[in-house]
Amino acid sequence: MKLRYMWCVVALGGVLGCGQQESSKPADRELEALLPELSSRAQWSIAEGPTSHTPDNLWEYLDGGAPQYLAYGFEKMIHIRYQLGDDPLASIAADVYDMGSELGAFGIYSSIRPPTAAIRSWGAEGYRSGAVAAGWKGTVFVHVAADDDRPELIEMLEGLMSEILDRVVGSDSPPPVLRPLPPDGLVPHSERYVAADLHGHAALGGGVLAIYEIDGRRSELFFSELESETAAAAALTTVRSERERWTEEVMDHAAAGEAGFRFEDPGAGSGLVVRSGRYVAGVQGDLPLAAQEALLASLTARLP
Amino acid sequence: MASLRKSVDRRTFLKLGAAASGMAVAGCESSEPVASSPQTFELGYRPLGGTGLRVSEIAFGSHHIDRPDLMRAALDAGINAFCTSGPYLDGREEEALAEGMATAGSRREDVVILTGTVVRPGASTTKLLAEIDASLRRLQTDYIDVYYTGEVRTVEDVRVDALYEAFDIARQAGKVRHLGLTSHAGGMQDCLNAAIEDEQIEVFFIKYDFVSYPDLDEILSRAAQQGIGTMVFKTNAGNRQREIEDLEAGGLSFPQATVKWALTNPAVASVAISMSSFDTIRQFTAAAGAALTAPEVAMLRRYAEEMYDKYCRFCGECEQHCPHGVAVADVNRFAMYFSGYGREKQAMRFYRALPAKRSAAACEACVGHCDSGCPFGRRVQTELVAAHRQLSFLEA
Repeated sequence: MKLRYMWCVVALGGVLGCGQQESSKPADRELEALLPELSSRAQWSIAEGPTSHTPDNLWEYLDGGAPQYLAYGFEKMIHIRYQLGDDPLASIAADVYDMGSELGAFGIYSSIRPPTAAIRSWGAEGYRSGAVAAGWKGTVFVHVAADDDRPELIEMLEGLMSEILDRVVGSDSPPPVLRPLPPDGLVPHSERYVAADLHGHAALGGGVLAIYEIDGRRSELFFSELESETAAAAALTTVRSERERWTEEVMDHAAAGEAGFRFEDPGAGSGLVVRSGRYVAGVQGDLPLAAQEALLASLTARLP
Repeated sequence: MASLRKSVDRRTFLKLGAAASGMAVAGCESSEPVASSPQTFELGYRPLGGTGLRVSEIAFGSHHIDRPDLMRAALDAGINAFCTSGPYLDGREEEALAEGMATAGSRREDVVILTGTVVRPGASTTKLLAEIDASLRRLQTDYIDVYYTGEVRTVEDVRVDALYEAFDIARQAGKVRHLGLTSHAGGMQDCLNAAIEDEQIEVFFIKYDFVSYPDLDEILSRAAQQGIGTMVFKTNAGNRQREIEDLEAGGLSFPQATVKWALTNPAVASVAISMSSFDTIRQFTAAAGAALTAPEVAMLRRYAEEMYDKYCRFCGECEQHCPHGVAVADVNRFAMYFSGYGREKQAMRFYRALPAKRSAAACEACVGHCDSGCPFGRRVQTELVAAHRQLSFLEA
């Protein structure tokens, strides 16, 4: 399973022009070197770590979350906990991950970024939501959590995010895999790279999704690149059969693609899924059918 | 309630490796299925200890999953137990579950919700009550069936006064019904024993597999006698792909077999699976409804044999037996970096950074107290001697 995920990362990255990934990894891949010195931060000390984790023992650290990180290509993680004075409940845990590729770092970051989080200019992109912050740059993903949102803890948290990501050598640009997304109507910072099970369909493997808002109504646009046109056709068939089993109404609909179907979901709204070459693309949400067709056509026209 | 399929001698299974040549897993001696009707795909339900709740044998693990359509599909497939968490995805998992339940038209009383947060010693009652309220808002419900304290690692984590104070206040207000704990750490057994002794925890939500924790069955049995219900996760014993790929030949599914194995324990009410796709829902609901077959038992047995003395459970027993204070786990990890990941220089640098008395320099001349200290029969001293040579670049 993991190998399949990795193939998706490599395939999407390679075909869509991610050739810069290798060169932008930290030269020595030493995550410890990204951690700041504490000499300038009075009263703070290291309460735990740094400890390191690899794909073999990540599951001992992450409660059920390890497969998610492995799917995005996780290679190594350093965990450290800083404490203010002698108060064990005034601490900040920082996890610094080498995700193996820029796509993996962006992918895991975008998968946890809350839709309403305040975006910050840490690294390529970061956010803070209450006492939690995350960001990415190059192949590195950083997640920092404070015990609560006391000002002194938040100040340290923000300082850590900035300092760690400033030290990362790597690209600040969005991954090339996002390029086919049409710009009109795209909700800023809604783009995600999903390593596996795009839209809940294992047959699609990994892919890209993003939110679009037009006239106050929203839909989610998504696409996945398969190995070949034949594989894309087979994936489309599987997706349709799963939709037929789990949603209320499915019917033929080939607009904006070479083959496809339309469905009505009682919760997530109506949707279209089509095949375009070796891609399977779709849209789902509250937009009217005509707008969904136009959005999907705009996407398929931009696919390589 | 579905009948419990317990044809496998589980204790013998866990002792694999200690007596590999003489092992006998009941039902494995013939090629017949362990149970008689492996084609019966019916998701069963089991009582969750003495809570009065009945949970599907497969539970929806929502870690990093915020898709209401998947949750609705799971409800449609008969899954009624949902394990989520307030902190994960900034609460989006709980919001997605609320939406999934709403669009499925589920009655609240037909769904069992487990959620919680990490509670450490010194935690504040007020803050915990606020977290319970936040979960209720996101879940759009009046009550939580099982509220758990997450990532319990030490006995001190079990005995946090604020947890019990907050839970009592919330229970009197009708906001929570049962108290649970989740754990998957090396010292998990101590935590579970403390919880049994304290008689306050009603549900265990823990890591459980066929390789680790040989004394866990006995602990779960005692817990069951006390009315504590158990749900489990991480049944796949490290899920090491290198070993699994060869074992799955012939169409067997290692993950599904591990789930079936866990359900052979009558003390286990449900196995939580990370349900990231419609296909996962289909596969695992079918697996739970089918019996563990002899080829699957053989597959797990082979995996256990492969893993038994290679798989460090981080229990720390060996370090306690070492009179020299060697940092056994660290040395082994550095050796793994060296030989398993090709990071020779980094591994050697880490090793050099260890305090001299914590290195494995003294191991060669030692009689090997650590060997008798490993409950899984790992040849710890041999590994340490080899690691020291490798990491300090000595000729054998």
